[in-house]
Amino acid sequence: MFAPAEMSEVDIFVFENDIEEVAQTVARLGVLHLLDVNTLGKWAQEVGTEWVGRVSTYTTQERRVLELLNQLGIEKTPRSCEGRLDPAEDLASIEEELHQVEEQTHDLRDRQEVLSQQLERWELLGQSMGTLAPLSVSISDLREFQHLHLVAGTIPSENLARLEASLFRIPYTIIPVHHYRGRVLIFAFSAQEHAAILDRALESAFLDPLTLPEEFEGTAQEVLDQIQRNRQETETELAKLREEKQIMSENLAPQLLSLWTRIRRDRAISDAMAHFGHRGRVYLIAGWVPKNRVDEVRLAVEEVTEGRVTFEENSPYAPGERVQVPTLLRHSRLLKPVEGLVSTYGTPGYRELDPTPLVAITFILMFGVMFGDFGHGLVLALFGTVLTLRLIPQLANLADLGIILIFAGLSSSLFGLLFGSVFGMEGVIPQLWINPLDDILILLGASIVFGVILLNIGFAFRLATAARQGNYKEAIFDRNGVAGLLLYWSLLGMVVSIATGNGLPIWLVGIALLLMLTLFLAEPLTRLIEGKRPLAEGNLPELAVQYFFELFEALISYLSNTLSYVRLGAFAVAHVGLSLVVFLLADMVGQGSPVLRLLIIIGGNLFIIGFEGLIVAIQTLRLEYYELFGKFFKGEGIPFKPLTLPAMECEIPD
Amino acid sequence: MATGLDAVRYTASTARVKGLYAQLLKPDIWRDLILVEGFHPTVSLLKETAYGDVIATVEQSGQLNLETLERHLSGRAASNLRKTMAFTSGSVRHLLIVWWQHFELENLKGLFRGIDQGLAPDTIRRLLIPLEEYSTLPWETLLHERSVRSLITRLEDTHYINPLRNALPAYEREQTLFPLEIALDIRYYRDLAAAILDLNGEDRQDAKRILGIHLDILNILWAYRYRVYHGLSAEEIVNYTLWRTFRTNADLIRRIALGAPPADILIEVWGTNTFSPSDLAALDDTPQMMPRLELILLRLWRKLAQREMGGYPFRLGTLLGYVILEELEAQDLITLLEGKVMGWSVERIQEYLIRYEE
Repeated sequence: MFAPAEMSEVDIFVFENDIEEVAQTVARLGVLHLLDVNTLGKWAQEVGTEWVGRVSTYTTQERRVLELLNQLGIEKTPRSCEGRLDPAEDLASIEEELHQVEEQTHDLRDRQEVLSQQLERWELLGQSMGTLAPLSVSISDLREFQHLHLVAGTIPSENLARLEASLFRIPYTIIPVHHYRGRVLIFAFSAQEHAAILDRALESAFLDPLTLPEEFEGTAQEVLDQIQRNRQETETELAKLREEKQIMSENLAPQLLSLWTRIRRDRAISDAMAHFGHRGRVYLIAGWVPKNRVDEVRLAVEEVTEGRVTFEENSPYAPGERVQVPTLLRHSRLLKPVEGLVSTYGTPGYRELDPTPLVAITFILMFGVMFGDFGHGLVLALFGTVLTLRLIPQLANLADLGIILIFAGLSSSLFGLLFGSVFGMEGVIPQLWINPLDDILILLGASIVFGVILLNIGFAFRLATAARQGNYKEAIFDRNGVAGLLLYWSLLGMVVSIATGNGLPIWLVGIALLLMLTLFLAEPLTRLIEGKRPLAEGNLPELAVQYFFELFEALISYLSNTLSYVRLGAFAVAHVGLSLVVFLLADMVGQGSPVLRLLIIIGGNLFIIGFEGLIVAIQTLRLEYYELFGKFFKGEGIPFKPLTLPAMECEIPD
Repeated sequence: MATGLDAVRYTASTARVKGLYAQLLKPDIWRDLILVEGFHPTVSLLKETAYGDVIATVEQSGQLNLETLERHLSGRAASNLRKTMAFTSGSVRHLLIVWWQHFELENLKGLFRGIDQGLAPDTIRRLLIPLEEYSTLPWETLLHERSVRSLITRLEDTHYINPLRNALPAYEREQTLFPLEIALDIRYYRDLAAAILDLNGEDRQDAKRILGIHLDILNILWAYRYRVYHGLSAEEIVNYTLWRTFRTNADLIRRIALGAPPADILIEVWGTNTFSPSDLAALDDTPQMMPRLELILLRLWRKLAQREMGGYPFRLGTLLGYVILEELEAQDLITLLEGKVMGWSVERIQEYLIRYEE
């Protein structure tokens, strides 16, 4: 329950001819966490860069496929992946296939772009003709101006001022007609003799000229009608093209999705190949496998190679072994979200105890105490259920958080019953234990007792971790080990003795002083029992100062860690206080207006649930991370990440 | 005026920049590099310096030639610029990011040229500056576009799309990338000016002094290039330059377009004491004057950047001074290597280096 899955280190030696088959088989099983190639010693020397290059090329190809899927509006759902892969040879065939698809889609995209631009031009021509329509002039007259040069077109709006500044040598008129999407439709006039200057200036201001097709004749209004017809034709063509794109999407979807899957799988194998050791014609696949799955891997590999394989299984406890063993945590669906809270702090080391079950219980309990309210708890649990069942699609990725909210909410409700509080109202439901505001001292005292119990569990975990790691000697004189625990108990005994009116027992003071001396000399004593010499390295006065401050810090931390749990009671009191403020405010502001009063009560309760709920959650995490984890948990492990083939949902092994 | 707050804001980034600044080549190494004969001996000597990693990377790629080396030297400058911005935030970081984007812009222009010429993706890839993972553009997908138009369509969701859209009709009409490149340049340098103006107080003054002068230099150089090399009309020159920079405006550009001599313009903009009389005298109205003009202005820029490295260090000026010196050093190394390949004399190489005075 508290220990990660037991691992074995396996070394699989296979011939060059079998390596890709073996890689695929192992990836399909999804139970092998590869060792870094650099840890393979002489086996790493012949590892080439060709597989790394293939990984890079497959990554590029994947980007291109994703681009095409986006362009065609195809949903990214990986296809099932049957059949063997050939990652060394697939590159070329995939490239060819991809190239062909790109040719087709690029052509379609370009045609769509041209038609869209054409449509835009008809709209602009419509705008310009609309300006001229009231004048009833003939378009042919406009074309045949003898002394006037007229240009119509669009330029970027930001270039208009600069264009005018550039026309400093000639008289001109520029009339902006219509602004759209960062551009402006203009009519520019100059004398015919300055036409060349005007044209060059307009061109350099990035003019996109609007010219009427020669066949357009008649008055501006008549031309406007012709433009409308052409515009409709273009819209029809564009609609056809969209249909064509839809058909193309449907036709290409299976091919592109299967390409995508193939690329991802080939890349996974290539990536694995880049991690395998290599000498001559023999490859070495080295990695970690959960102990209960080793035989399965062995059988599968022997089958695929027809026995041409050497399979070695080593214990991670082998003496002198320095490689970090990955951690595979096995928890039920209910504990998975809490695993996330733990991994935010750090991944448990292979030989550490996994605090997830402990956190699951203590987090929920502490949250409940600090946020004790029957109604607020039920609202949180309800919201958690909505998240867990993914009833709001936009919040679907918060489903895990939902599970935590359900249990935290139920815990709040339970403590709400104990405190007799529902939606901040006291006395509505019977109080089964105490009222936080009336019995503050009891609540604070109970919080400290809870903290003492939790810290003792922390000490116990520290000792259990030391036993698991075989570091008994280090744990004896450690501030969180045996000596630390005994000192904590003796200090606790003194406090209890004084608090109960029994004075300060001298014998207890003597034990505490002795234990303090032990902690003061922790390092030399540890070296003594470990047989290391000299007992202290360095300047003795400096060491003495250092030891003194370490002892001082340990004493302070025992005190602060314990008192930290006072916040459990303090927040419970604050919760009731905050609710009182809401009702007080509702009575003051909502006097004479029951609706306003109700609105303030509802708003205030929502504020408490959201804002105070968040603060309480942060405080609970703080108690977990700083007070509890500090005792025994380092979180310096590496997570178990097996080699898998994408789109093949490889389950985490039991 | 410098405040204690600046010291807090710029402590980490200044420390980093000072470390990077120390990696710039010392005058004695430059002397050796200039004196050594041949391309490969120069590269070997360069390998012993902070540029060793670049040379090793190029050697590992199996393409130790001038073109590859040039791209990697620019890539190193881009990478060091990213390191410079590591401890910055807000509008200062934004300015540095915008400045870094000129490398991306160069790559984008290279990509357009490659696609316009119908080059294969692999060939184009070799022409691009290695920008590691910092660039947000999907280069690998862009490389596989088949035409300039489709490349522009593909850039739809980027901030490059508006200038490209505006210049596309001119490209299709004239079948030259000139309008596209100009549109990209103008938009980019407008963005840079906006990023400078977005800063406050001392930061803005520092940026104006070091990057603002770059905008002034470019605007003047562009105007002369259009007039001398391309023979463009005054109207086109005004439209193809920046509307106004910190020391130039439409009126100055108009006068350049109408034939004002470069020496007069430089004196008008930077006063009589900035340039030596011999430098100004060499600026006649021929196309041969252009490299000379460019060199004079780049040397001025370098001098100003070098000045920023002295005095009170905890300010934006130190960061910008370094990045400019780093880029100009890369540019000088490229000139040096080109000179070695072409078999230029020591004197001729020196003549073309921006760090000429040392």
